[in-house]
Amino acid sequence: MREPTFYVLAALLDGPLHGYGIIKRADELSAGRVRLAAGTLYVALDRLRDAGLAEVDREVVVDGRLRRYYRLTGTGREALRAEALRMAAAARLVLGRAGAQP
Amino acid sequence: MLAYPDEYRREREAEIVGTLLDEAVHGQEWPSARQIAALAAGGLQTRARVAAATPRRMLADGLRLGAVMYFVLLCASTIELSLRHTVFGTPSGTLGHFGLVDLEAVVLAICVVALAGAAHEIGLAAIVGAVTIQAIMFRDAPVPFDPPHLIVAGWILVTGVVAALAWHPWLRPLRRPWSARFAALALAGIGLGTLGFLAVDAATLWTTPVLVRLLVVTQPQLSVPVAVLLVAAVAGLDPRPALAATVAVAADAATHLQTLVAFSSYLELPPVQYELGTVVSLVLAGAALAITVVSARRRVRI
Repeated sequence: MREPTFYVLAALLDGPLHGYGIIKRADELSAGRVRLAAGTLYVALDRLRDAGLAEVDREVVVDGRLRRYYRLTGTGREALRAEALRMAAAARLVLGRAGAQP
Repeated sequence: MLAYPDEYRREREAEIVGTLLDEAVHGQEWPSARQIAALAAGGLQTRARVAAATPRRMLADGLRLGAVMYFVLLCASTIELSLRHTVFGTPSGTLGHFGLVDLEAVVLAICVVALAGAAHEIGLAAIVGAVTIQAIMFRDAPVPFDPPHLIVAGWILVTGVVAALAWHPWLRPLRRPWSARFAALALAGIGLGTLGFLAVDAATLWTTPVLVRLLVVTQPQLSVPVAVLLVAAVAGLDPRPALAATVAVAADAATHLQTLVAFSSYLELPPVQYELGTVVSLVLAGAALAITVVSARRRVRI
């Protein structure tokens, strides 16, 4: 799983969000490290929808702007958890060793 | 948003533009360079994602774009020849037929538009017409051209591709016209590129090193579009532009090869230019083929 995709899924953990909402949430969660451009975000969202990991929740028009909200599917939640466990295992591999202490 | 497929734009443009506007700083009219680059890559990747659902369409699109590219290149060199006659007077080369060259340029332009519009029968008719004109020019050339059967080596390759697109039942169901935008853009590019080329050519042709001359001056009509196609293939994770580059460059290499063989007996022509041209084309074709295979095998990560 690519890093932007991981943060898109993570942004949706607390409930459905629209495009700009996901960008802001991913920025917060990564402490400003993952700054998703709109072009990158929608490629990631389309691939997630194709793979059944995310789906459209609802559409709202605010100030004449179309906002489509996305939510995690059950499969998406599982895939995100599996990826987090994999990363945690990889982290333990290094942090558990004496040689990794500063 | 121009990089995205039309259908996708109809469905999603409002949403994507809405997100861009949400992000925009007050008073900002245009997206930043970072946003534009991401949109361009996103558009190309979306095209690849949509097309990847049908592998046949990937193949047909790549072959067709390659055939169109080759005729765009031929059209460019024919327009160049035609302009050269007009601007510099008839050179001491082998093609001394002003009117026929002009006619050939028009026929090749028809060919480009017909292939882009998926009218492969008209495209084939235009190819036959252009080959005939070419044959007449070579027959009447001041320097006898020998052996005559090698005249159309590159054309035979591309004609085969076009014929397969038109009649092969496996590719036929996927024929669909592209927008006229592409053909118009390519032809406008040729016109401007050729004028620039002539200006650079007149100023620098005989003072630059041979290899630089081939890549930058003598063959910009090949190397620039091929570079654009390969960048599009890598940025869009799409094997189609790379396949197109392979077809166009292979056809160009075939043309160079026949020129090399045919002109080898005429010592007054600089043979090194043709030899290097062939090597450059073959190397480019190999690189394009490698990128095609790699991008076709690569699975897109989520």
